[in-house]
Amino acid sequence: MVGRGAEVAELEALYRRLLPQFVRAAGAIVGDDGLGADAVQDAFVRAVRERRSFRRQLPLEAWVWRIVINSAIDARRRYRHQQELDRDTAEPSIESDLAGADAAVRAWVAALPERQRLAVFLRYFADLDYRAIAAVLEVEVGTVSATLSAAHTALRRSMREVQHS
Amino acid sequence: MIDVEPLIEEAFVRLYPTPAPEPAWEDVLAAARIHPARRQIRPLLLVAATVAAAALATGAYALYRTVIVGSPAPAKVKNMERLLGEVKGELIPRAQHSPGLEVAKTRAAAVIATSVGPAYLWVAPNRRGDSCAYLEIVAIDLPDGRPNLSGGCTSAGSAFYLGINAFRVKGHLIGLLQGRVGTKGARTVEVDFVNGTSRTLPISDHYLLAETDPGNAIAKSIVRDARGRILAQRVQPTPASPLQRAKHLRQALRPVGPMRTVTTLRTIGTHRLLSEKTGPGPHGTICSELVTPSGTGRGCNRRIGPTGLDVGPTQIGSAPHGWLLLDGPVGSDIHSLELRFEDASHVAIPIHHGYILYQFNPRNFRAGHRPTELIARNAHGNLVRVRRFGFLP
Repeated sequence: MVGRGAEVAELEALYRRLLPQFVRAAGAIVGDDGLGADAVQDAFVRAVRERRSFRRQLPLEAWVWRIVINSAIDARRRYRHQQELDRDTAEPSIESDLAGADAAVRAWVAALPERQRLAVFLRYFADLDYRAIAAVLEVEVGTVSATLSAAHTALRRSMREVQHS
Repeated sequence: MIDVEPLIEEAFVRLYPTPAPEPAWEDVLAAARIHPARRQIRPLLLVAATVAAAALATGAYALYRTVIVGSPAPAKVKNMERLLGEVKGELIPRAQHSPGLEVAKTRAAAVIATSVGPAYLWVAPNRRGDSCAYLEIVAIDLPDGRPNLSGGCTSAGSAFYLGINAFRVKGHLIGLLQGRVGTKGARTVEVDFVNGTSRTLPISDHYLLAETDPGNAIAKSIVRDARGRILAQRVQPTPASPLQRAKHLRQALRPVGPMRTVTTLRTIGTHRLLSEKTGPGPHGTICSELVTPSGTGRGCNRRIGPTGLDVGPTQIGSAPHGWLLLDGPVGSDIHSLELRFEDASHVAIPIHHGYILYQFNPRNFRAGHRPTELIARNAHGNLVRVRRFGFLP
């Protein structure tokens, strides 16, 4: 029998344990740290209100991540005048491995379609495994694997591009 | 193949630093109209110990020539920032986009004497509230006296990042540890290296800069306040020195057999020759090279299947004079490719020995005319693949 509902205390524990990660991912999606933090607050308000609708077929953390991601996407829509997820940078003019890697990752993130971008954020910000990402994005595990594989291929291309500059 | 996961993790730490938000659970409960079961004890606000902080920061306030921490940047630095910020840019997706530097506010955040002479870290805000930092190593200033700046902008949030860069300066390889700490009340960073050594570095105006061994890597970093209390710490998941990273990249991109030219291209307007070459790579991969007048870029990837389409945009140089190319391998089942644009125009892209090399026309660098998708069809004209481009509006 599948249990129903989440306890407020469980949500509070999750909030206190993972707040920086939630804000980091939401901030990256919205494109603004402050609005990202607001989106996380909104997400938890919703999670508390709707806690009885939680089904324990998936981990509570994945359920909350889904709400946070959706809240951040909503915030991003409201924040259309500055919708770029990545940060601009001047092109490095001297040898710098870190700057090269950053430029490649920046270009890569900017070019990713929305779903790939979310999968990447959940993989690297939230440190979720493929199964949890699939639960958050409501897709098959194989889709997550293919999505991240395609994203990695795109990054390798960006790395090559950086070698030219 | 390049193992990109560690690169992503490292770059994300810098590009998207982990913030340190103040928990406000009571606000969540209040907004959700839930009464808290118990009162939360709000953490005490950190009180900066001004005298102790000043003592700790003394080392960073070293005078070197005429530049001290807090000095406004000279005109030559500001001029170079304008060049970096306003002239350089990306063709697509963000043509002529600039980080919006507030150049006039540039000041020295760190001044150090390295083994090759002075190095400065110039910082400036931008219009989006980011913090932008540019490193100047005086020994490699340009022949005409202009500073050879490198750097960029990151979120000015409360998180921190640290990294070691390697620089070749007149035959000497030096390492510079550079970072930014936005955490309120932070005064020092204790850096533990993988070789077992440790250094405590003062934070000056949120930044730190120190010379270090380019063969060393950061294993752990701990941010402390003036009383030595830990404010934040980070363990590097996959520590690697700049030299290790460079070696790793070289090994991953070394072909194991001869490279042959599969297609060439003359650039629009400038008539420069570009070539795409392929050859066998390590571990059964296939390497491809894009040879341009400004250098050669190489990637080694798994062989693609008959319906594969590993084609994407490659930018060489910057706006407005750079080239934006579309290149890569195409599966054997794909017989034709059509590139479509926002203005409903389209163009057929020829396939040469399983590869394409195409230059976007500069007229497509404008909104309303940008490329939208690449359509791949088989010999019967049936749709095989669609590649949509993630260009921003």
